[in-house]
Amino acid sequence: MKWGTWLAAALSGLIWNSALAGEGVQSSCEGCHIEAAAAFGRSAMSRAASTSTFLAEWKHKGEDKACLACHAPSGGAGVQCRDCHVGSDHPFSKLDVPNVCASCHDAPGELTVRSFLRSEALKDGYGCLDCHTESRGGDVHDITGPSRAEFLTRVGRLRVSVATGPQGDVAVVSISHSAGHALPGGTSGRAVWLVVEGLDDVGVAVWRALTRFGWEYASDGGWTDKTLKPNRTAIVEIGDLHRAGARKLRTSLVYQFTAGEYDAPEAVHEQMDQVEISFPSTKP
Amino acid sequence: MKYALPLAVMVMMFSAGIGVAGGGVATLSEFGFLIEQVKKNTGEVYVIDLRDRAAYLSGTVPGAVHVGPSPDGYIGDGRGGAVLVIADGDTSADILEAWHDRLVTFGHDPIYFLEGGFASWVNHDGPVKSPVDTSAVPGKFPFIIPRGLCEMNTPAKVYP
Repeated sequence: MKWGTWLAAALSGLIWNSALAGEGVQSSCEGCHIEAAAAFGRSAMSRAASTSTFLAEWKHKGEDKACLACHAPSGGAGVQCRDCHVGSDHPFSKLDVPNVCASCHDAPGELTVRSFLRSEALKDGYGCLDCHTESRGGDVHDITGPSRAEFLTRVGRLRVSVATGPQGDVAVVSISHSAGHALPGGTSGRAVWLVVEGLDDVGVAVWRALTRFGWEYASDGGWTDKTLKPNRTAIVEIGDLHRAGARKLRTSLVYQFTAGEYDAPEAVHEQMDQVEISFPSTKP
Repeated sequence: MKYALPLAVMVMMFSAGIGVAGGGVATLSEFGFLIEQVKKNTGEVYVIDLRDRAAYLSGTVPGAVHVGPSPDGYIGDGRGGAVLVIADGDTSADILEAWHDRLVTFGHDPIYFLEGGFASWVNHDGPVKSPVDTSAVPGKFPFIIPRGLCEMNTPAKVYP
């Protein structure tokens, strides 16, 4: 071995050992695992402690360090290599999915992994990374999810029927999704909203009915899981469709990343699906 | 099985070009296909229940929506696809034919009717669930929207 090569190897070993001891873990991994590091750098996980959504919530909470246990366990802008690739000897063993995910995605107030373990997706042999990675050339570090454009449009599906009952027309909305876990995944602040609007002749909403799916808290009943379960269709019925001169029904399934109300100024939404139905002109 | 779809109805459906391969009266093998689709909730088969409200609420095919007995006034979303029709075993042939025609209008194909109605679904060990377990009511119950996991114990907003 030439001196230069030996020196480089020795230095890289020194750097690696230094990295294992603490600081510089991320940079030491990137030195060799260039593609994996670049791929993970594109993921929202790598920015989990620096997104505007997180920072707003964190500030609201008084910048509680407990939040960082999942959002930036090793400090920095988000999750880092060694937060998931645990172990003391390099090369590290293959990730124990979904258990390694559960350390954060099965935290109090979140049941993503728990619901996955009861899903048909698991029975069919699917794992977390089958849906949550943009595999390029076999590399699986580009972790993807609802924050990625068009990811959610593949997940949620609405069907709407209008039927005539004793009390008049009723819209029956069914919501199904292909996620292998409860929807929304993630922490309890996220929500999926069903937004049903009656539109007038020129398309202006004259009434609106909101249904929230996610975690709820009632002062007398504590926390309730009202998420959309995997492999189960949720059904919402809405009557009095023609009120206020409505001539059309617009039904939207909307993912909300931010905590709080649907109309909150800081709310960040992503539409998952939308269906419009016109009423017959003979209806009152 | 308390009811077998009248032969006249079956003949009518097959002559209308909705035979077994493209829907129509579900055969034994199609029961298996339909049950599998319902269990996995693939969204590939839309399920409508024509029975009375009480029967629907007491138990139906998971994911089924209640549209009532009459096709008059029924409006579909135009997305078409396969549909499974849940009816009482003694539903008249005229009603089933009217439903078939109405569903075709909204692009549904294939259209499955269960020979023997809902009882036959049960007899084939098809899953049954109370729709109450999966239904939600828009904005009816006051609750507090959590601010996030880190605020699990200090929710911040009352809704509505």
